Order: sequence, then structure tokens, then C-alpha cells
Amino acid sequence: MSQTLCIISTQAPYRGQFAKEALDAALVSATYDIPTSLLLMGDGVYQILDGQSPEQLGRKNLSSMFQSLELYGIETVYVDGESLEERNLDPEQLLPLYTLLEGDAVASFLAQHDKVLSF
Amino acid sequence: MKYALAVYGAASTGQSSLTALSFARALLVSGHEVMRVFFYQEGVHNATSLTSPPQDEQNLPEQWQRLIAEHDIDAVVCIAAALRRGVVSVDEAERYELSASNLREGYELSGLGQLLEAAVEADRLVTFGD
Amino acid sequence: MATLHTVNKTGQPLELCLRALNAGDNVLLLEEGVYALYEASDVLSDLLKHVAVYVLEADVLARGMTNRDNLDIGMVDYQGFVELTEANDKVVSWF
Repeated sequence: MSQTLCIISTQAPYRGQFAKEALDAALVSATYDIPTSLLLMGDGVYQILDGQSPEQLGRKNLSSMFQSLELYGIETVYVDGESLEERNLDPEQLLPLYTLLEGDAVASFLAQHDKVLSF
Repeated sequence: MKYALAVYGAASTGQSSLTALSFARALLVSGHEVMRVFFYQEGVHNATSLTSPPQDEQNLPEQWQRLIAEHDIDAVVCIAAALRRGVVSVDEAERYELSASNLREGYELSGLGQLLEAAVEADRLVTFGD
Repeated sequence: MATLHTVNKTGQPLELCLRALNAGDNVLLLEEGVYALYEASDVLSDLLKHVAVYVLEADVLARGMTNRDNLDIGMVDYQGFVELTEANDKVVSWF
């Protein structure tokens, strides 16, 4: 039985390469058949705000990377509910590919994983 | 125990590269095995051979290299992150027709899979970010 | 399954760490995270009811700080950091 990995991504989408390189790690982890969860917390929740158009920045749209996660076997993205509330974000403003973790759920969710890789 | 370290910071961006180096030294003193150090994100800058700080300042890339050589540590630099930031081996410089190469000896440019593989194989994974 | 949480800044990293803690976990404040001794001493005293909190000595000394006498916070060197990673089942870094 392979060890389970949780990847936590806490940075805003176009701040350097933080978010993109965290997603790369999640995709590669899944291709190595490691049971992988991706958890967005803090400013990381902005990564799945719908309607991103970073073309004027000359950057790749992260949304399409998120939408491809499922093809690699990552069926959902976990989102810290408190981080959404702190940022006045409504669930409808997000790409519909996530599972909300509310209250104490984050702590028990992390406890379920063998290893945690933060970004 | 077997430890895998992920290093995301450069000497100039924060303190995490130094913390990781001090932690790695303490691990070895305690008799643990450092099975891999994986340099990712800004951490790839620790592998450049072109740092030349003033005499009275520490040269972190040089200190990393010394530790890696002395203990024969598997030091892997993420190839995509490194090419994006201008840390290149002789082979990659040729492949992309770049004017120079700067990867220190003792490091290997390789894929992210090396990080994930180490993450699940090691007894402990410790991430050092800024 | 206890976890060691390292926190390298106050602000977002400390806040996110707080909501990820389970009873019996350990927290190590390092780098800019040691400023929590001054900025967040109320938070820390609450925290100490559920988890053990440590600070990294080199980072405390470097910044001209001192440990809080009124709080039961352990001061560790890098060797102590290693021991904390041995004593816990995994490490989560907040930065």
C-alpha cells in the first residue's frame, strides 16, 4: 500500500511560480500512482477563482491545469472553508471542482495523510 | 531514519536554504541518512557555481556543495525549475544552445518525480520554504 | 499520529497552522516565526493547552529576542529540531 501524500498550496495564483509549480508536483505525484490530495489554503484559494484571464500577463491560465487534474486521477481539490470566508469568496465564484473542508475538518484531513508537501 | 529534504529558497530570498543546511548537518551528526535533497522553486539557485559573495559573507551554495560531497548525498535539482531560472548543466546548455553552464559538480538535474519518489520512500519528508 | 508543524512567519503561516493542529502535535517556530513570541503571545498561551510549542534558538538569538518566561515554550537547537522530527510521525511546514 503506497503512502498517501497531501500537497498544500497556500500562495496566490500569479505570485512567481509558486502555484504553478505546486500543481506540477501534484500532477507528477499522481502519475507516480501516489494517492495524492491537493489542499488549497490561505491565498491559495484564489487559484480556483473562476474567470481568470492572465493573457495580458503572458502567463498560462491555471484553470486549465486544475481542470486536467481529474485526467490524472485527482478527482477533487480540497479547499479550506475558513480561507474562503476570510476573503469574502462565495462558493459559486469558484471552479466547480472542489470539496469544502469546514471547521476542524482541515486538521483531521491532514492527520489522514502519511506525508505532507507544502507550497 | 531516512530523511528527504525539499529546499525551495535561495540564499537571497529568505532564510530557508540556511535552515535546511543546518538541519541537514544536524541530521548527519545524529546518524540519520539524508537520502535525497531536492532543490525546487527558488531553491535551484543553491546549485549555481557562479555565486561570489564578499569575503566576509557566507557562500551558501558552496557550503551545500561541500556537505553533499563529504557525505555523498543524492542532490537533485528540478530540471524544469532550473532551466526556467538559468541554472543549467553542460548538457542542457548544449541542448538549448545557451552561452554558458553553471551547475555545480555533485548535483543532478532531473524531474519532479525524484521529489515525489523520495517523499514516499523516506521515513520523514521535511520542506523548507520561504 | 502526531505531527510537527514548523512555522517560519507570523501572519498567514501561523494562522493556517493554528487551524491544522490536532491535540498532541508539536509546533516549532523558526526564522521570522519566532516573532510570535512577542506578537502572538496570547495565541501561544492558548495553544499551549493543546500542543507543545518550541522556538529555534539560533533564530531567537539572531533577532535579539528572548523566550517568554511566563510561557512554557521550549528552546531547541538544530539537534533539538531533529529530535522533534524523530518524535513526530510527520512534518508539515507553514511558510
